[in-house]
Amino acid sequence: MARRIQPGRLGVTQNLLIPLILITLITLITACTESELPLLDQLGDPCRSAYDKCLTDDTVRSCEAGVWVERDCASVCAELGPAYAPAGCDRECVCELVDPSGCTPSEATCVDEGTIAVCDEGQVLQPNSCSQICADAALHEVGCLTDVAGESACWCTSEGTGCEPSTTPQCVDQDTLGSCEGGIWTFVECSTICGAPAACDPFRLPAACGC
Amino acid sequence: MQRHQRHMRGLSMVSLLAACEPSPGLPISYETEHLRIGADLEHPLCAGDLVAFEQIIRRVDEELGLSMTSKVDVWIWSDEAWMVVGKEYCGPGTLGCTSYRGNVIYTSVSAVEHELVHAATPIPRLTPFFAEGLADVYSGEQARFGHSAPADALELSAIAMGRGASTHFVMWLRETWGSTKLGELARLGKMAGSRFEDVYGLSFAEAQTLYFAEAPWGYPGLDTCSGAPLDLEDEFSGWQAEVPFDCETGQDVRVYGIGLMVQRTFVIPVAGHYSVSTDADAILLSRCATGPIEEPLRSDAFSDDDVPPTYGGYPSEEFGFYMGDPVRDLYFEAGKHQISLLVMGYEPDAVNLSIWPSLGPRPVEMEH
Repeated sequence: MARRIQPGRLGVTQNLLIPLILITLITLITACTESELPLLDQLGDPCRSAYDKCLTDDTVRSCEAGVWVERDCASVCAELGPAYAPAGCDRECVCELVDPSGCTPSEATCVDEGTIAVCDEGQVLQPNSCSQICADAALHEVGCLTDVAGESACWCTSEGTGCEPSTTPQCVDQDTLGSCEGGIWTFVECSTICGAPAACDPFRLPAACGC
Repeated sequence: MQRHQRHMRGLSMVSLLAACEPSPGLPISYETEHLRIGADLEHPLCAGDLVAFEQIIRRVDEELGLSMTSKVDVWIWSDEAWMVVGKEYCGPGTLGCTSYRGNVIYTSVSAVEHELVHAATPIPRLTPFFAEGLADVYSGEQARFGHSAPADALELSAIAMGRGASTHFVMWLRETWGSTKLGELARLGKMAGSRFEDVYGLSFAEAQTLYFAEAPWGYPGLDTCSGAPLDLEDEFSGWQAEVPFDCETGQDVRVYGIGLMVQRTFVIPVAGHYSVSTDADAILLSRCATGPIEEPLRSDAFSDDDVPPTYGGYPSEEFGFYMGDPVRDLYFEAGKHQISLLVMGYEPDAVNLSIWPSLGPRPVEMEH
Protein backbone atom coordinates (compact mmCIF):
# COMPACT_ATOMS: atom_id res chain seq x y z
CA MET A 1 0.00 0.00 0.00
CA ALA A 2 2.72 2.44 0.97
CA ARG A 3 5.16 3.41 -1.73
CA ARG A 4 8.35 5.24 -1.07
CA ILE A 5 9.57 7.64 -3.75
CA GLN A 6 13.18 8.63 -3.99
CA PRO A 7 13.71 12.25 -2.98
CA GLY A 8 13.58 14.53 -5.98
CA ARG A 9 11.43 12.29 -8.17
CA LEU A 10 8.54 14.71 -8.01
CA GLY A 11 10.64 17.81 -7.64
CA VAL A 12 8.25 19.76 -9.79
CA THR A 13 6.25 20.49 -6.67
CA GLN A 14 9.19 22.31 -5.21
CA ASN A 15 8.41 25.42 -7.17
CA LEU A 16 4.70 25.02 -7.29
CA LEU A 17 3.11 27.90 -5.43
CA ILE A 18 -0.31 27.03 -4.18
CA PRO A 19 -2.69 30.00 -4.29
CA LEU A 20 -4.25 30.00 -0.91
CA ILE A 21 -6.54 32.95 -0.73
CA LEU A 22 -9.23 32.94 1.90
CA ILE A 23 -7.92 29.59 2.88
CA THR A 24 -9.63 27.48 5.49
CA LEU A 25 -7.18 26.51 8.14
CA ILE A 26 -7.71 23.92 10.83
CA THR A 27 -4.93 24.24 13.30
CA LEU A 28 -3.54 22.07 16.00
CA ILE A 29 -2.84 24.44 18.79
CA THR A 30 -0.62 23.84 21.71
CA ALA A 31 -2.17 22.52 24.88
CA CYS A 32 -0.97 25.43 26.98
CA THR A 33 -3.67 27.69 25.60
CA GLU A 34 -4.57 30.51 27.94
CA SER A 35 -8.29 29.92 28.01
CA GLU A 36 -10.91 32.18 29.55
CA LEU A 37 -13.20 29.23 29.98
CA PRO A 38 -14.78 28.98 33.42
CA LEU A 39 -13.29 26.07 35.31
CA LEU A 40 -15.23 23.29 36.94
CA ASP A 41 -13.63 23.96 40.31
CA GLN A 42 -16.48 25.11 42.55
CA LEU A 43 -18.19 22.99 45.19
CA GLY A 44 -21.05 21.21 43.46
CA ASP A 45 -19.35 21.21 40.06
CA PRO A 46 -18.85 17.87 38.32
CA CYS A 47 -15.38 16.37 38.68
CA ARG A 48 -13.24 13.30 38.14
CA SER A 49 -10.12 13.67 40.24
CA ALA A 50 -8.00 11.78 42.73
CA TYR A 51 -6.55 15.00 44.09
CA ASP A 52 -7.98 17.14 46.90
CA LYS A 53 -7.32 20.86 47.33
CA CYS A 54 -7.12 22.84 50.55
CA LEU A 55 -10.01 25.19 51.19
CA THR A 56 -9.00 26.17 54.73
CA ASP A 57 -6.45 24.97 57.28
CA ASP A 58 -8.59 21.94 58.05
CA THR A 59 -10.89 21.42 55.08
CA VAL A 60 -10.40 20.32 51.47
CA ARG A 61 -12.33 20.26 48.25
CA SER A 62 -12.63 16.58 47.37
CA CYS A 63 -14.14 14.80 44.37
CA GLU A 64 -16.78 12.43 45.72
CA ALA A 65 -19.15 10.50 43.45
CA GLY A 66 -18.26 12.81 40.57
CA VAL A 67 -18.99 16.08 42.40
CA TRP A 68 -16.72 18.51 44.25
CA VAL A 69 -17.62 18.48 47.96
CA GLU A 70 -16.09 19.99 51.07
CA ARG A 71 -14.55 17.59 53.57
CA ASP A 72 -12.81 18.16 56.87
CA CYS A 73 -9.34 16.76 57.28
CA ALA A 74 -10.37 14.83 60.39
CA SER A 75 -12.60 12.60 58.28
CA VAL A 76 -10.01 12.34 55.50
CA CYS A 77 -7.32 11.20 57.92
CA ALA A 78 -9.71 8.87 59.73
CA GLU A 79 -10.08 6.93 56.49
CA LEU A 80 -6.40 6.05 56.75
CA GLY A 81 -7.02 4.28 60.06
CA PRO A 82 -6.66 4.98 63.79
CA ALA A 83 -2.90 5.56 63.50
CA TYR A 84 -3.40 8.93 61.80
CA ALA A 85 -4.60 12.31 63.04
CA PRO A 86 -5.12 15.56 61.10
CA ALA A 87 -2.27 18.07 61.15
CA GLY A 88 -3.36 20.89 58.92
CA CYS A 89 -3.61 21.27 55.18
CA ASP A 90 -0.80 21.72 52.64
CA ARG A 91 -2.26 21.29 49.13
CA GLU A 92 -4.03 18.25 50.60
CA CYS A 93 -4.83 17.20 54.17
CA VAL A 94 -1.72 16.44 56.18
CA CYS A 95 -2.20 13.31 58.28
CA GLU A 96 0.41 12.54 60.92
CA LEU A 97 1.02 9.43 62.96
CA VAL A 98 -0.59 9.51 66.37
CA ASP A 99 2.58 7.93 67.73
CA PRO A 100 5.48 9.41 65.75
CA SER A 101 7.88 6.95 67.34
CA GLY A 102 5.81 3.99 66.19
CA CYS A 103 5.84 2.22 62.88
CA THR A 104 3.97 3.33 59.76
CA PRO A 105 0.92 1.21 58.92
CA SER A 106 1.46 -1.29 56.06
CA GLU A 107 5.23 -0.69 56.15
CA ALA A 108 7.34 -3.85 56.37
CA THR A 109 10.56 -4.31 58.34
CA CYS A 110 13.01 -7.19 58.53
CA VAL A 111 13.13 -8.38 62.13
CA ASP A 112 15.82 -10.94 61.41
CA GLU A 113 17.08 -12.97 58.44
CA GLY A 114 13.95 -15.07 58.26
CA THR A 115 11.24 -12.86 59.72
CA ILE A 116 9.40 -9.86 58.39
CA ALA A 117 7.15 -7.65 60.46
CA VAL A 118 4.32 -5.64 58.95
CA CYS A 119 2.97 -2.62 60.80
CA ASP A 120 -0.77 -2.91 61.40
CA GLU A 121 -3.38 -0.14 61.60
CA GLY A 122 -2.70 0.27 65.31
CA GLN A 123 1.04 0.85 64.74
CA VAL A 124 1.89 -2.58 66.11
CA LEU A 125 4.43 -4.74 64.28
CA GLN A 126 3.07 -8.15 63.33
CA PRO A 127 5.89 -10.64 62.66
CA ASN A 128 5.62 -13.26 59.94
CA SER A 129 7.92 -16.07 58.95
CA CYS A 130 9.43 -15.76 55.47
CA SER A 131 9.49 -19.52 55.15
CA GLN A 132 5.71 -19.56 55.56
CA ILE A 133 5.20 -16.64 53.16
CA CYS A 134 7.35 -18.37 50.55
CA ALA A 135 5.64 -21.70 51.12
CA ASP A 136 2.26 -20.06 50.59
CA ALA A 137 3.56 -19.03 47.15
CA ALA A 138 4.91 -22.56 46.49
CA LEU A 139 8.47 -21.22 46.68
CA HIS A 140 11.50 -21.70 48.89
CA GLU A 141 12.77 -19.07 51.31
CA VAL A 142 15.82 -16.95 50.54
CA GLY A 143 15.35 -14.63 53.49
CA CYS A 144 14.15 -11.19 54.53
CA LEU A 145 15.97 -8.55 52.50
CA THR A 146 15.84 -4.77 52.21
CA ASP A 147 16.38 -3.33 48.73
CA VAL A 148 18.22 -0.14 47.79
CA ALA A 149 14.99 1.82 48.01
CA GLY A 150 14.68 0.75 51.65
CA GLU A 151 11.73 -1.57 51.10
CA SER A 152 11.84 -4.84 52.99
CA ALA A 153 10.29 -8.07 51.79
CA CYS A 154 10.64 -11.80 52.00
CA TRP A 155 12.57 -13.04 48.99
CA CYS A 156 11.75 -16.44 47.63
CA THR A 157 13.08 -18.67 44.85
CA SER A 158 11.89 -21.49 42.66
CA GLU A 159 15.13 -23.40 43.30
CA GLY A 160 14.34 -26.72 44.91
CA THR A 161 10.60 -26.50 44.26
CA GLY A 162 8.64 -28.90 42.15
CA CYS A 163 8.34 -28.67 38.38
CA GLU A 164 6.81 -30.59 35.53
CA PRO A 165 9.50 -32.88 34.10
CA SER A 166 8.62 -31.66 30.60
CA THR A 167 9.36 -28.03 31.54
CA THR A 168 12.12 -26.59 29.39
CA PRO A 169 15.24 -24.99 30.92
CA GLN A 170 15.14 -21.24 31.57
CA CYS A 171 17.70 -18.64 32.50
CA VAL A 172 17.59 -17.71 36.16
CA ASP A 173 19.78 -14.67 35.60
CA GLN A 174 22.62 -13.68 33.32
CA ASP A 175 24.92 -16.42 34.63
CA THR A 176 22.65 -19.24 35.82
CA LEU A 177 20.56 -21.89 34.08
CA GLY A 178 17.53 -23.44 35.74
CA SER A 179 16.56 -26.98 34.71
CA CYS A 180 13.88 -29.35 35.87
CA GLU A 181 15.84 -32.33 37.14
CA GLY A 182 13.77 -35.21 38.47
CA GLY A 183 10.79 -32.94 39.03
CA ILE A 184 12.81 -30.36 41.01
CA TRP A 185 14.06 -26.98 39.80
CA THR A 186 17.84 -27.11 39.85
CA PHE A 187 20.04 -24.07 39.33
CA VAL A 188 23.56 -24.42 37.94
CA GLU A 189 26.07 -21.66 37.18
CA CYS A 190 26.96 -21.59 33.49
CA SER A 191 30.63 -21.41 34.43
CA THR A 192 30.20 -24.81 36.10
CA ILE A 193 28.48 -26.28 33.06
CA CYS A 194 30.96 -24.82 30.61
CA GLY A 195 34.09 -25.12 32.72
CA ALA A 196 34.84 -21.48 31.97
CA PRO A 197 33.06 -18.15 32.40
CA ALA A 198 29.85 -18.24 30.36
CA ALA A 199 26.48 -16.55 30.20
CA CYS A 200 22.99 -17.98 30.00
CA ASP A 201 21.42 -17.39 26.58
CA PRO A 202 17.65 -16.83 26.91
CA PHE A 203 17.19 -16.56 23.16
CA ARG A 204 18.00 -20.18 22.50
CA LEU A 205 15.12 -22.60 22.38
CA PRO A 206 15.36 -23.99 24.97
CA ALA A 207 17.53 -21.60 26.96
CA ALA A 208 21.10 -22.84 27.42
CA CYS A 209 24.51 -21.76 28.59
CA GLY A 210 26.59 -20.25 25.83
CA CYS A 211 29.70 -22.34 26.31
CA MET B 1 8.22 10.91 19.78
CA GLN B 2 5.57 11.07 22.47
CA ARG B 3 8.02 12.83 24.73
CA HIS B 4 8.89 15.27 21.96
CA GLN B 5 5.25 16.15 21.65
CA ARG B 6 4.95 16.79 25.35
CA HIS B 7 8.02 18.99 25.16
CA MET B 8 6.64 20.98 22.26
CA ARG B 9 3.36 21.58 23.98
CA GLY B 10 5.12 22.97 26.96
CA LEU B 11 7.13 25.42 24.95
CA SER B 12 4.73 26.79 22.42
CA MET B 13 2.35 29.68 22.55
CA VAL B 14 -0.88 30.45 20.79
CA SER B 15 -1.42 33.22 18.35
CA LEU B 16 -3.54 34.08 15.33
CA LEU B 17 -3.70 31.97 12.22
CA ALA B 18 -1.95 32.86 9.02
CA ALA B 19 -4.26 33.89 6.19
CA CYS B 20 -2.12 32.36 3.46
CA GLU B 21 1.19 30.63 3.14
CA PRO B 22 3.75 29.81 0.45
CA SER B 23 4.74 26.36 -0.78
CA PRO B 24 7.46 24.79 1.33
CA GLY B 25 9.42 23.74 -1.72
CA LEU B 26 10.21 20.32 -0.29
CA PRO B 27 10.43 17.29 -2.59
CA ILE B 28 7.72 14.67 -2.33
CA SER B 29 9.52 11.71 -0.77
CA TYR B 30 6.73 9.28 -0.02
CA GLU B 31 3.41 8.49 -1.59
CA THR B 32 0.55 6.38 -0.23
CA GLU B 33 -3.00 5.74 -1.34
CA HIS B 34 -4.22 9.08 0.03
CA LEU B 35 -1.08 11.12 0.68
CA ARG B 36 1.89 12.74 -1.00
CA ILE B 37 4.44 13.46 1.67
CA GLY B 38 7.35 15.86 1.67
CA ALA B 39 9.48 15.90 4.79
CA ASP B 40 12.21 18.06 6.25
CA LEU B 41 13.34 15.54 8.85
CA GLU B 42 16.68 14.24 10.06
CA HIS B 43 15.39 10.70 9.74
CA PRO B 44 13.34 8.69 7.24
CA LEU B 45 9.69 7.84 7.60
CA CYS B 46 9.33 4.08 7.83
CA ALA B 47 6.84 1.82 6.12
CA GLY B 48 5.08 1.42 9.47
CA ASP B 49 4.61 5.18 9.73
CA LEU B 50 2.95 5.29 6.32
CA VAL B 51 0.77 2.30 7.23
CA ALA B 52 -0.25 4.07 10.45
CA PHE B 53 -1.13 7.25 8.52
CA GLU B 54 -3.34 5.29 6.14
CA GLN B 55 -4.95 3.40 9.02
CA ILE B 56 -6.05 6.71 10.52
CA ILE B 57 -7.62 7.77 7.26
CA ARG B 58 -9.29 4.38 6.84
CA ARG B 59 -10.64 4.46 10.42
CA VAL B 60 -12.24 7.85 9.83
CA ASP B 61 -13.82 6.50 6.64
CA GLU B 62 -15.07 3.30 8.26
CA GLU B 63 -16.35 4.87 11.46
CA LEU B 64 -17.55 8.31 10.41
CA GLY B 65 -18.32 7.66 6.76
CA LEU B 66 -16.12 10.60 5.76
CA SER B 67 -13.29 10.39 3.28
CA MET B 68 -10.79 12.43 1.38
CA THR B 69 -11.94 13.44 -2.07
CA SER B 70 -8.44 13.61 -3.53
CA LYS B 71 -4.86 13.12 -2.51
CA VAL B 72 -3.53 15.44 0.15
CA ASP B 73 -0.06 16.97 0.16
CA VAL B 74 1.54 16.59 3.59
CA TRP B 75 4.57 18.72 4.50
CA ILE B 76 6.30 17.54 7.64
CA TRP B 77 9.08 19.23 9.63
CA SER B 78 10.99 18.05 12.66
CA ASP B 79 9.73 19.54 15.90
CA GLU B 80 12.87 21.68 16.08
CA ALA B 81 12.54 22.98 12.51
CA TRP B 82 8.84 23.61 13.06
CA MET B 83 9.61 26.08 15.80
CA VAL B 84 11.27 28.17 13.09
CA VAL B 85 8.95 27.62 10.11
CA GLY B 86 5.63 26.85 11.81
CA LYS B 87 4.47 30.43 12.08
CA GLU B 88 5.05 30.94 8.36
CA TYR B 89 2.59 28.22 7.42
CA CYS B 90 0.13 28.02 10.31
CA GLY B 91 0.80 30.93 12.63
CA PRO B 92 2.81 31.10 15.83
CA GLY B 93 2.14 28.67 18.62
CA THR B 94 0.64 25.97 16.41
CA LEU B 95 1.89 22.44 15.86
CA GLY B 96 0.26 22.04 12.45
CA CYS B 97 -2.62 23.06 10.23
CA THR B 98 -4.75 21.70 7.40
CA SER B 99 -6.04 23.65 4.43
CA TYR B 100 -9.13 22.20 2.75
CA ARG B 101 -8.95 24.70 -0.08
CA GLY B 102 -5.36 23.85 -0.83
CA ASN B 103 -5.78 20.16 0.06
CA VAL B 104 -2.58 20.42 2.03
CA ILE B 105 -1.24 19.77 5.53
CA TYR B 106 1.64 21.68 7.12
CA THR B 107 2.75 20.09 10.33
CA SER B 108 5.43 19.26 12.86
CA VAL B 109 6.18 15.56 13.01
CA SER B 110 4.43 15.37 16.39
CA ALA B 111 1.10 16.50 14.98
CA VAL B 112 0.90 14.52 11.74
CA GLU B 113 -1.77 12.12 12.97
CA HIS B 114 -3.95 14.93 14.32
CA GLU B 115 -3.81 16.85 11.05
CA LEU B 116 -4.54 13.70 9.05
CA VAL B 117 -7.90 13.43 10.81
CA HIS B 118 -8.70 17.03 9.91
CA ALA B 119 -7.81 16.28 6.31
CA ALA B 120 -9.88 13.08 6.36
CA THR B 121 -12.95 14.98 7.63
CA PRO B 122 -13.22 17.62 4.89
CA ILE B 123 -15.99 19.71 6.38
CA PRO B 124 -14.53 23.23 6.29
CA ARG B 125 -16.80 24.95 8.81
CA LEU B 126 -17.28 22.13 11.29
CA THR B 127 -17.74 23.54 14.79
CA PRO B 128 -14.20 23.71 16.25
CA PHE B 129 -15.30 21.94 19.43
CA PHE B 130 -16.15 18.85 17.38
CA ALA B 131 -13.41 19.28 14.76
CA GLU B 132 -10.67 19.31 17.38
CA GLY B 133 -12.30 16.60 19.48
CA LEU B 134 -12.58 14.32 16.46
CA ALA B 135 -8.99 15.03 15.45
CA ASP B 136 -7.71 14.14 18.92
CA VAL B 137 -9.83 11.02 19.29
CA TYR B 138 -9.27 9.58 15.82
CA SER B 139 -5.56 10.37 15.81
CA GLY B 140 -5.28 8.04 18.80
CA GLU B 141 -5.03 10.42 21.75
CA GLN B 142 -6.24 9.21 25.11
CA ALA B 143 -8.93 11.33 26.75
CA ARG B 144 -9.37 12.67 30.27
CA PHE B 145 -12.34 14.41 31.90
CA GLY B 146 -11.75 18.11 31.31
CA HIS B 147 -11.49 21.09 33.61
CA SER B 148 -14.29 23.01 31.88
CA ALA B 149 -17.83 22.30 30.76
CA PRO B 150 -18.37 21.27 27.13
CA ALA B 151 -21.27 23.71 26.83
CA ASP B 152 -18.98 26.59 27.76
CA ALA B 153 -16.52 25.61 25.02
CA LEU B 154 -19.04 24.70 22.32
CA GLU B 155 -19.21 28.07 20.59
CA LEU B 156 -15.57 29.03 21.04
CA SER B 157 -12.81 29.00 18.46
CA ALA B 158 -10.17 26.28 18.41
CA ILE B 159 -7.80 28.74 20.04
CA ALA B 160 -10.12 29.86 22.82
CA MET B 161 -11.70 26.59 23.82
CA GLY B 162 -8.76 24.69 25.26
CA ARG B 163 -8.64 20.97 24.57
CA GLY B 164 -9.50 18.51 27.28
CA ALA B 165 -13.28 18.98 27.31
CA SER B 166 -13.79 18.47 23.57
CA THR B 167 -11.62 15.36 23.32
CA HIS B 168 -13.23 13.62 26.28
CA PHE B 169 -16.78 14.65 25.31
CA VAL B 170 -16.35 13.43 21.72
CA MET B 171 -14.90 10.15 22.98
CA TRP B 172 -17.89 9.81 25.31
CA LEU B 173 -20.26 10.38 22.37
CA ARG B 174 -18.44 7.67 20.42
CA GLU B 175 -18.49 5.20 23.29
CA THR B 176 -22.11 5.92 24.23
CA TRP B 177 -23.87 6.21 20.88
CA GLY B 178 -21.34 4.90 18.41
CA SER B 179 -19.32 6.39 15.61
CA THR B 180 -22.05 6.50 12.96
CA LYS B 181 -23.91 9.23 14.83
CA LEU B 182 -20.63 11.05 15.30
CA GLY B 183 -20.24 11.06 11.52
CA GLU B 184 -23.80 12.37 11.15
CA LEU B 185 -22.98 15.14 13.60
CA ALA B 186 -19.81 16.08 11.75
CA ARG B 187 -21.71 16.39 8.47
CA LEU B 188 -23.80 19.16 10.08
CA GLY B 189 -20.70 21.35 9.87
CA LYS B 190 -21.12 24.67 11.62
CA MET B 191 -24.60 23.58 12.75
CA ALA B 192 -23.23 20.60 14.69
CA GLY B 193 -23.82 22.35 18.01
CA SER B 194 -27.16 23.97 17.33
CA ARG B 195 -28.62 20.88 15.63
CA PHE B 196 -27.08 18.36 18.04
CA GLU B 197 -30.59 17.18 18.99
CA ASP B 198 -31.33 16.20 15.37
CA VAL B 199 -28.71 13.47 15.68
CA TYR B 200 -28.86 12.43 19.31
CA GLY B 201 -32.49 13.11 20.22
CA LEU B 202 -31.54 15.31 23.17
CA SER B 203 -30.20 18.82 23.39
CA PHE B 204 -26.53 19.51 23.93
CA ALA B 205 -27.35 20.74 27.45
CA GLU B 206 -29.22 17.52 28.21
CA ALA B 207 -26.34 15.48 26.82
CA GLN B 208 -23.93 17.40 29.01
CA THR B 209 -26.03 16.60 32.10
CA LEU B 210 -25.86 12.91 31.20
CA TYR B 211 -22.15 13.24 30.47
CA PHE B 212 -21.45 14.80 33.86
CA ALA B 213 -23.42 12.01 35.54
CA GLU B 214 -21.92 8.99 33.85
CA ALA B 215 -18.72 9.74 31.90
CA PRO B 216 -15.64 7.96 33.23
CA TRP B 217 -12.40 9.63 34.26
CA GLY B 218 -10.60 8.59 31.11
CA TYR B 219 -10.52 6.61 27.91
CA PRO B 220 -7.47 4.92 26.39
CA GLY B 221 -6.41 6.02 22.92
CA LEU B 222 -7.87 4.11 19.99
CA ASP B 223 -4.45 2.74 19.05
CA THR B 224 -3.47 1.65 22.54
CA CYS B 225 -1.87 -1.78 22.51
CA SER B 226 -2.55 -2.43 18.85
CA GLY B 227 0.76 -4.22 18.29
CA ALA B 228 0.78 -7.78 16.95
CA PRO B 229 0.69 -10.48 19.65
CA LEU B 230 3.81 -12.36 20.63
CA ASP B 231 3.48 -16.09 20.29
CA LEU B 232 2.80 -17.84 23.58
CA GLU B 233 4.72 -21.08 23.77
CA ASP B 234 2.95 -22.35 26.85
CA GLU B 235 2.02 -21.09 30.25
CA PHE B 236 5.36 -22.07 31.78
CA SER B 237 7.84 -21.17 29.08
CA GLY B 238 6.68 -17.68 28.21
CA TRP B 239 7.39 -15.95 24.95
CA GLN B 240 10.30 -15.90 22.57
CA ALA B 241 10.58 -14.02 19.30
CA GLU B 242 13.00 -12.66 16.76
CA VAL B 243 11.67 -9.31 15.61
CA PRO B 244 12.88 -7.88 12.30
CA PHE B 245 13.52 -4.14 11.93
CA ASP B 246 13.43 -2.92 8.36
CA CYS B 247 12.36 0.68 8.05
CA GLU B 248 11.79 0.44 4.34
CA THR B 249 9.60 -2.66 4.25
CA GLY B 250 8.49 -3.56 7.78
CA GLN B 251 4.79 -2.78 8.04
CA ASP B 252 5.06 -2.44 11.82
CA VAL B 253 8.38 -0.59 11.99
CA ARG B 254 8.08 3.07 12.98
CA VAL B 255 10.55 5.84 13.58
CA TYR B 256 11.00 6.64 17.26
CA GLY B 257 13.34 9.49 18.15
CA ILE B 258 16.79 8.63 16.86
CA GLY B 259 15.94 5.02 16.09
CA LEU B 260 13.26 2.53 15.19
CA MET B 261 10.44 0.97 17.17
CA VAL B 262 8.34 -2.18 16.85
CA GLN B 263 5.47 -2.89 19.22
CA ARG B 264 4.19 -6.28 20.34
CA THR B 265 1.54 -7.34 22.83
CA PHE B 266 1.23 -10.31 25.17
CA VAL B 267 -1.11 -11.43 27.92
CA ILE B 268 0.29 -12.17 31.37
CA PRO B 269 -1.84 -15.07 32.68
CA VAL B 270 -0.97 -14.72 36.37
CA ALA B 271 0.36 -11.67 38.22
CA GLY B 272 3.94 -12.04 39.38
CA HIS B 273 7.57 -11.54 38.50
CA TYR B 274 8.64 -12.26 34.95
CA SER B 275 12.12 -12.11 33.45
CA VAL B 276 12.56 -9.99 30.34
CA SER B 277 15.60 -10.24 28.11
CA THR B 278 16.30 -8.64 24.77
CA ASP B 279 19.22 -7.48 22.70
CA ALA B 280 17.26 -4.41 21.62
CA ASP B 281 18.84 -1.15 22.75
CA ALA B 282 15.91 -0.38 25.05
CA ILE B 283 12.35 -1.44 25.77
CA LEU B 284 9.19 0.31 26.84
CA LEU B 285 6.62 -1.69 28.79
CA SER B 286 3.08 -0.88 29.81
CA ARG B 287 -0.07 -2.63 30.96
CA CYS B 288 -2.90 -2.09 28.53
CA ALA B 289 -6.11 -0.38 29.47
CA THR B 290 -9.03 -2.70 28.83
CA GLY B 291 -11.74 -0.07 28.43
CA PRO B 292 -12.97 3.17 29.96
CA ILE B 293 -11.05 4.05 33.12
CA GLU B 294 -13.58 4.74 35.83
CA GLU B 295 -11.41 5.47 38.84
CA PRO B 296 -9.24 8.60 38.80
CA LEU B 297 -5.58 7.70 39.13
CA ARG B 298 -2.87 9.54 41.01
CA SER B 299 0.44 9.89 39.24
CA ASP B 300 2.16 8.28 42.24
CA ALA B 301 -0.18 5.30 42.24
CA PHE B 302 2.35 2.77 41.05
CA SER B 303 5.88 1.90 42.03
CA ASP B 304 8.84 2.52 39.75
CA ASP B 305 9.54 -1.20 39.81
CA ASP B 306 6.11 -2.12 38.57
CA VAL B 307 5.11 -2.07 34.93
CA PRO B 308 2.81 0.98 34.75
CA PRO B 309 -0.58 1.14 33.05
CA THR B 310 -0.81 2.96 29.73
CA TYR B 311 -3.17 5.49 31.28
CA GLY B 312 -0.75 6.39 34.06
CA GLY B 313 0.54 9.35 32.05
CA TYR B 314 -1.14 12.19 30.18
CA PRO B 315 -1.25 13.39 27.46
CA SER B 316 1.35 10.82 26.40
CA GLU B 317 0.66 7.32 27.57
CA GLU B 318 2.84 6.02 30.37
CA PHE B 319 5.40 3.26 30.10
CA GLY B 320 8.31 1.78 31.94
CA PHE B 321 11.61 2.46 30.21
CA TYR B 322 14.31 -0.15 30.62
CA MET B 323 17.70 -0.57 29.10
CA GLY B 324 21.04 -2.07 29.96
CA ASP B 325 20.32 -5.27 31.89
CA PRO B 326 20.68 -8.59 30.02
CA VAL B 327 17.94 -10.12 32.18
CA ARG B 328 15.53 -7.94 34.12
CA ASP B 329 12.96 -9.23 36.60
CA LEU B 330 9.82 -7.11 36.67
CA TYR B 331 6.47 -7.38 38.42
CA PHE B 332 3.50 -7.65 36.07
CA GLU B 333 -0.17 -7.52 36.90
CA ALA B 334 -2.27 -10.07 35.02
CA GLY B 335 -3.64 -8.90 31.68
CA LYS B 336 -2.62 -7.61 28.29
CA HIS B 337 0.68 -5.75 28.04
CA GLN B 338 2.54 -3.92 25.34
CA ILE B 339 6.27 -4.00 24.74
CA SER B 340 7.99 -1.52 22.44
CA LEU B 341 11.39 -2.64 21.21
CA LEU B 342 13.77 0.17 20.32
CA VAL B 343 16.96 0.12 18.28
CA MET B 344 19.26 3.04 17.61
CA GLY B 345 19.71 4.10 13.99
CA TYR B 346 17.65 3.34 10.93
CA GLU B 347 19.50 0.45 9.30
CA PRO B 348 17.84 -2.99 8.95
CA ASP B 349 18.32 -5.11 12.03
CA ALA B 350 16.72 -7.92 14.03
CA VAL B 351 16.42 -8.28 17.77
CA ASN B 352 15.64 -11.17 20.07
CA LEU B 353 13.08 -11.01 22.82
CA SER B 354 12.33 -13.51 25.54
CA ILE B 355 9.88 -13.22 28.45
CA TRP B 356 9.35 -15.99 30.98
CA PRO B 357 8.20 -16.46 34.58
CA SER B 358 11.06 -15.61 36.93
CA LEU B 359 12.76 -18.51 38.68
CA GLY B 360 15.37 -16.78 40.80
CA PRO B 361 15.07 -14.83 44.05
CA ARG B 362 12.35 -12.19 44.01
CA PRO B 363 10.30 -10.33 46.63
CA VAL B 364 7.00 -11.94 47.54
CA GLU B 365 4.26 -10.09 49.35
CA MET B 366 2.33 -11.73 52.12
CA GLU B 367 -1.07 -13.08 51.09
CA HIS B 368 -3.85 -11.14 52.78
